[in-house]
Amino acid sequence: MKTNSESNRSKKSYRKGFIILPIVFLLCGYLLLFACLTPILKPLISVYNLAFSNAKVQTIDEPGVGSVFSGSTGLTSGTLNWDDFSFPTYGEAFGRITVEGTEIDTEVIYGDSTALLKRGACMSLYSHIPGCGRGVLIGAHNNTYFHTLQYVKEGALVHLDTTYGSYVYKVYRTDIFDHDDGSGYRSELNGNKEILILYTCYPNDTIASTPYRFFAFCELVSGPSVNLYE
Amino acid sequence: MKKLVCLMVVAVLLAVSMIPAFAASGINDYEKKIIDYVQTAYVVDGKTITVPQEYITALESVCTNVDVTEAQYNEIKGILDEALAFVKSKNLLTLEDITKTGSTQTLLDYASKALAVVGLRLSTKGSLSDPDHGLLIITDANGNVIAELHPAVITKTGADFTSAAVCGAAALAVLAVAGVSVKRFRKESDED
Repeated sequence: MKTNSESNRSKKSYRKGFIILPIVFLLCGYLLLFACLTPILKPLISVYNLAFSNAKVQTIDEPGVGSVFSGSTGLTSGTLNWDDFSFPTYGEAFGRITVEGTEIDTEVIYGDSTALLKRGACMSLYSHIPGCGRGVLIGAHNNTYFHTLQYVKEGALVHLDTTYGSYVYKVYRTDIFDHDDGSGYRSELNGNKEILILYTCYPNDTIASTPYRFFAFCELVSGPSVNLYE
Repeated sequence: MKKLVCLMVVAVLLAVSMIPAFAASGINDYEKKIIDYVQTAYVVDGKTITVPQEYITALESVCTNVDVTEAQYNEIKGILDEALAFVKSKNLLTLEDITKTGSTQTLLDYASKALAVVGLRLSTKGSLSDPDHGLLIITDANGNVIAELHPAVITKTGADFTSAAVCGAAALAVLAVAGVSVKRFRKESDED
């Protein structure tokens, strides 16, 4: 015969084992599924909205959003004064970059916030736009747009077409630095010579974030110069 | 008719007064003077203390979004003079000194006042002592972003595995809880 206390304990155990725990696991399972499937479901929902909804769908990852670049201008020399061109506005895709010997072929966006980095190669506001005769700093993610940057060879040509001119640069050096080590790139970035600096995280296949960056330094071959001063 | 003309004049005046603040333009003489001021005004024992060149470049970028007038320049210079006096009083010689002395917010307030003169607004997101995630945001009167700047010049361009890590951790936590619960449940069943 079970005593009262044993019977109570058994009831408690029954409640815990067959009611509370399954509910907890169900909720945890749904949460886990939601977290895991969100990255897969989001694009599917976007596609569904594009196909069946009248609402305007805009995602920041969508290529071409905020793009004002409509192809090469063909302008490869000369001087552009302030009135001759439109200075890119923040978040605007104002050009396209291709790098010989790699699969890099992507839009160039003015600004380099986390959100913008999802859209393409991003130009730092700490650098000048192409044509100013100063450092141009462009970075992109190593798992997407700059995935193949590390395979670039010295001598490779980099084509950077913008809304106001077509620029060609030549890679003259590649290097790997700690991201805190400004000595590796600062003289090029702040010097009085036009140097295009491309960078991405290095190495490509690390799961955790890496402190190292792969840099490709490129010198100007051709392109119109730009005067920012009135 | 008089009222209509009066309204139209006011509207035109308002529109004209707004143009200098928001029209994009090259870097004019007054903007050049502001840039020069930031680069050269702070002198200690005959040595010029200035911010890193990349910050000056960012300032130039911001200047392409406005067209500073003489009156606005004078107002901004007054604010910069105040900021300079503060920097001198705190003896701030390096960027690290700003955080060490807890002067970040005061300097941001000066910057905010100076930007407000040309109709721009300054805000921050996250801690600016975090170079990768802290964010300085400059917007125009319409709320359009003019610039977003992380303190770090070189940004994080690695793969983002945060969500995968969170999912993995959650899965492990559920498994651990499940294991412990099953063990306890069995123990209690055995006791019964």
